[in-house]
Amino acid sequence: MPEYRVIGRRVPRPDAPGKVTGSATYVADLAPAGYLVARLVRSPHPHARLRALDLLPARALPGVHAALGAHDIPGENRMPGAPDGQPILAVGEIRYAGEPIAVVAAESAEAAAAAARAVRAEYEPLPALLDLDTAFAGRSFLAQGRIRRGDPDALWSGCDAVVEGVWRTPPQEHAYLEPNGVLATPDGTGGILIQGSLQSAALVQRAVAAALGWPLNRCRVAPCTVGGAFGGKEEVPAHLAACAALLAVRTRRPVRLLLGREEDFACTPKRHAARIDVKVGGTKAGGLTALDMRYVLDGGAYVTASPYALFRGLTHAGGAYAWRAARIDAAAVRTHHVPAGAFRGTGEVQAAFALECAIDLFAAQVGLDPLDLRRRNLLAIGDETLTGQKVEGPPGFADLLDAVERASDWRVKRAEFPRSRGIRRHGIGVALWRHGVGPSAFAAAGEPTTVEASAAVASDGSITLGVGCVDEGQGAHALLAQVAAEELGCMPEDVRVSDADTTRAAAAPGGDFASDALSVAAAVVDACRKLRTAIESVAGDLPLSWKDRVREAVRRNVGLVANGRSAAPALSFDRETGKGRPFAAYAATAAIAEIEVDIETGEVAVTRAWSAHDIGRALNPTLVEGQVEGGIVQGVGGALLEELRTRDGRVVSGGFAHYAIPSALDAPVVSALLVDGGGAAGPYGAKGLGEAAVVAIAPAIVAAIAHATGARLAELPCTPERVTAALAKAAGR
Amino acid sequence: MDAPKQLMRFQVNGEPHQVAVRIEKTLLEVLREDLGLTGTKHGCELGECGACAVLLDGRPILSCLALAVECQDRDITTVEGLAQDGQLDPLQEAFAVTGAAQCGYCTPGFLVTARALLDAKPKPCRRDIADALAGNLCRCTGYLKIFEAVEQAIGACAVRPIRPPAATPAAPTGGRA
Repeated sequence: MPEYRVIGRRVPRPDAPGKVTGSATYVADLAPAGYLVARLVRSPHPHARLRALDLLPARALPGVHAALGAHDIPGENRMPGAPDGQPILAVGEIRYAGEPIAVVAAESAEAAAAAARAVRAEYEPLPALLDLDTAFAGRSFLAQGRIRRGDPDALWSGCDAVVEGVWRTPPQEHAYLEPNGVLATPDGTGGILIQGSLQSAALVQRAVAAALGWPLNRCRVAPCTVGGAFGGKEEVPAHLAACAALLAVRTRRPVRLLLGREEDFACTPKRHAARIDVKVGGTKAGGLTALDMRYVLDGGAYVTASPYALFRGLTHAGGAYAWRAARIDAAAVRTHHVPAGAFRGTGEVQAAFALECAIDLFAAQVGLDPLDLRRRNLLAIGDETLTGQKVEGPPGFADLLDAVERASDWRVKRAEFPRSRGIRRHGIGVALWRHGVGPSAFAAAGEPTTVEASAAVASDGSITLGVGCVDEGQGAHALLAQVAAEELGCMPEDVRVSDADTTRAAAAPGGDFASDALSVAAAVVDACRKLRTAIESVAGDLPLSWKDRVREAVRRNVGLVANGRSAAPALSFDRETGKGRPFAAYAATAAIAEIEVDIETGEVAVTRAWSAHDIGRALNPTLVEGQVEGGIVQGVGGALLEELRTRDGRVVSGGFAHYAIPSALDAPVVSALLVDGGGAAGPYGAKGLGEAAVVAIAPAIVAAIAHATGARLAELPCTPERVTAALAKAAGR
Repeated sequence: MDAPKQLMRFQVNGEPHQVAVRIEKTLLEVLREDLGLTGTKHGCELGECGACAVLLDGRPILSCLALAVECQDRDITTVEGLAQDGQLDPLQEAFAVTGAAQCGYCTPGFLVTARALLDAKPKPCRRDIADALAGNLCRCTGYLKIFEAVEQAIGACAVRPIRPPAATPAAPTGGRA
């Protein structure tokens, strides 16, 4: 492999100094003179008819500048691209508890709260559909898809062992430390500026323009520093920005709309809750042959990200294995829960949990080591995946399994742990996953499939990159500066990355960091190579330094800006037939969890985790480790702690006191093992990582609990209550 | 209708301040809105996340739960006060270098809490660090790089307390660790 000057090094993040001194600017730190505080008025009912809405009592209160409902929207009352017409402010039918029906702006938070309380809404409550199974039985579908490969029913009778079960995962909250928020400011020249905590500037821009009925170029979006997102700041900021913009235009004042923590928990999208039925059959020698899976997601009240989650779940449902026959039926059902959304490992976390638990159960059934069983069934080069895509690159699965096996001392622990007696039992479990990276065949309406970036050199030789991807905190912009420095032969600190401001930024997909980093990096490489060629062609015969060449280029009027592109490769996926080439490249991850179970209390602690990743070349190892460690601990939270509970359709575990996420005391020691299996998706042999890190750890934890105690949990999170019940069930057998 | 205000005197980051504050305002609100010190963050306003941690007479408290009027004559340190004479605190250096700050929103709270730990116990072990930071939530890092950053800073700052001990002894009110 070629050696690089900057790529692969632990280059410090340019945003770190601002973040450690407190000077980094988040949206709540912006308080322009004369700004108004906005607040949404939300329905308390999960399903109701909104019979009447009277805003006059709110408007009459002191300090209140505006109270607006759906009828005050001059443009379209519809979220951008929403196929079901999800409104910005509900009119007629209310579909989830917390759905906004009006928005107010006042001079203080207190006055805004009083105004929101004063709005008189008359509801006719309707029966709410709040149960995934009932919704499925009633065929209340938001999206569907299927995969067929051979006929598994023809194989069951020939199988030596068949296992089946139902696995469930709950809604999970993103729990970014910074709640959602936006600030809308009329710019005095007929435009509006939106600042905020957001993942996709383009999506926010479309929402604002559509709501105001303005052209896009009057709506400028400039993201602030983002205090974490994980997929949770896509639709919400667009929704909030549309509301804040309406108020700002009406009042001609800056309007700040920040969600409180409990409101953010109660009213913004979660990870899809799921019920997954799996049946797996194979030989007693450990050969997997047949898979039958019914994959059902609770999509909540509106379509939003459900087709995307379904796409990811379906295209990954077969895992890392070669099946002779498989049938996958997938559906996202419509209920009256808060709409579900994208969340790191979207759609895959659920599929991985169910499939890998079933594989572990199958290994136990045939009496094979679960790691060895996986080794016997891996997809190899030339094999076809369930979608009919040929495995092209080296998949790296065996290397990953070797890496975690060695590092964790697997053999010894598998043999010794079951002999432990006493109250605290130890166990170790493994899971494996294959994860599509880079551009995918899923294209949301209106999302560009070609990613662009610009590179501009100033007269002093310093570089500015224009990119459309927001740095949510993972260090995406640090990475892009590193890429530009590599290409242009300068230092990363000579490069600044624009803040995805829509007036400067080129088109880029929002959200999905894994593909962002790769596609945007490829576009940056293209832009920088063009720029370098242009600059070097100036006085190419003279022995000039880079800076002198730039000065010469300025003198000769040579263009100092270059645009780069990265076109998505030809990809396809048909949700009816389940055939296609959904991704051009795949990464993979293997996870081993070592746990301790207190068999009296049912408490589980993850003490160690090994997370191996085939990510190609690590562009910046510090950032990679940060993604792996953070992803594993989010996965530990999902496995042991996190479940957003609702009662009658209303969230009752809002806030960190009622919804625990892992603290410093819950974090296991994580060993990130990086394997370069080849088959790169991005420049310099890179693959994406951010999403895969979270996927495999929960099934590994559940397998470890089974190893320690014989108890098999089929529902997340593994709370002490569930573990105790599973222990009792295992003891009764 | 104007809410009653009280004239407050306290030291923030070594500088004396006099502010007329509405009595119901939290220390967090006064720091951010009246003094413009926005490094300290709103995370939940319920005392559950630690993003608003500051030092009160050298001890970490949650500024979203403390009323500003409880802080008369007391000494407050925020993230903005950690650097001295233009030099970052060794903890700040270590957080920046190790990648302990990803999105950065929890970082100010972690920094001041870790500062108090090192002032009280210059050579903490990993368990001491985890215990001290257990009230500060981070969703990005998985905490490991935060532990490493504190450990990296231990050698560099074991001898130097961030601020001379407060002139007035710490009163038992207002602070919640």
